[in-house]
Amino acid sequence: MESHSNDNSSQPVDPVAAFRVANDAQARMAARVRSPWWVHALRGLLVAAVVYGLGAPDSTGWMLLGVVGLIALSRRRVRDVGVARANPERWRFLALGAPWAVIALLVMVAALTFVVVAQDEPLWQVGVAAGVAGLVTLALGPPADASARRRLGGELGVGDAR
Amino acid sequence: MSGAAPEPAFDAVVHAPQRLQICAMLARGGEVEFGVLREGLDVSDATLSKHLKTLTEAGYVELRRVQRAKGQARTWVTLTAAGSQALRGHFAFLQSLAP
Repeated sequence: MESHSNDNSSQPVDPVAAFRVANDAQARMAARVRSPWWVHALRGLLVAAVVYGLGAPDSTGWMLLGVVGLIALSRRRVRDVGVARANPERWRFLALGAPWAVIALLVMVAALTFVVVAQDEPLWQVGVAAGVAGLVTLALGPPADASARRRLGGELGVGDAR
Repeated sequence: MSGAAPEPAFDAVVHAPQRLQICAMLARGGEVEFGVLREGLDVSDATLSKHLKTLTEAGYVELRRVQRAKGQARTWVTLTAAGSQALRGHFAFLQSLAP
């Protein structure tokens, strides 16, 4: 049930109650940072497509599909979550999802570096690098979301107002 | 985030419980969509709009309206620098009173 407007600025100051209502509101907001399983699976597939597209011959289409798909998925996630700091398009998501988001990014960068530096590797090695990057992205998505929820919903303090 | 400790200062605009919740959500969440704020506060569109109008007039929040292809518009809300400063001062004031 919706509450009515509480616009009374002259009511007595109760610091404990004030922090409690602010913390409750933040906890409800943080609970939204939770993507369905298929978003993590799709992100893993798109990361794998980028790595494969960069390393395999004549596969620019895979890379384009991966890049465009990752951008579209990020935009959709921001719309669904409604909290821009959970936006994977922004670097802030790394801090919120740390350490899992950072590990996933490092694995993806390592896979991309591998397929670029070792240009003559057999196709199966490109496939393995792409698969590992995709699986790590998939597996670390939910714990990264959980870390973001913990940070967004953490107890308030004076320093939280930026 | 500024490293300096904020000066404790009661802020009548921020003090109203629902506006305090709005500011707290924006301080932690960055840019937050109107519907998220409405659900977080469990209030009607009209009530939230009224609070946002008060905060906007005080210079504490900014609204960004995004028109979507299907005709629906979404409004994103952010805390301004003045809003952050007022909230930090108000939090400091509350902590100075806390037992």
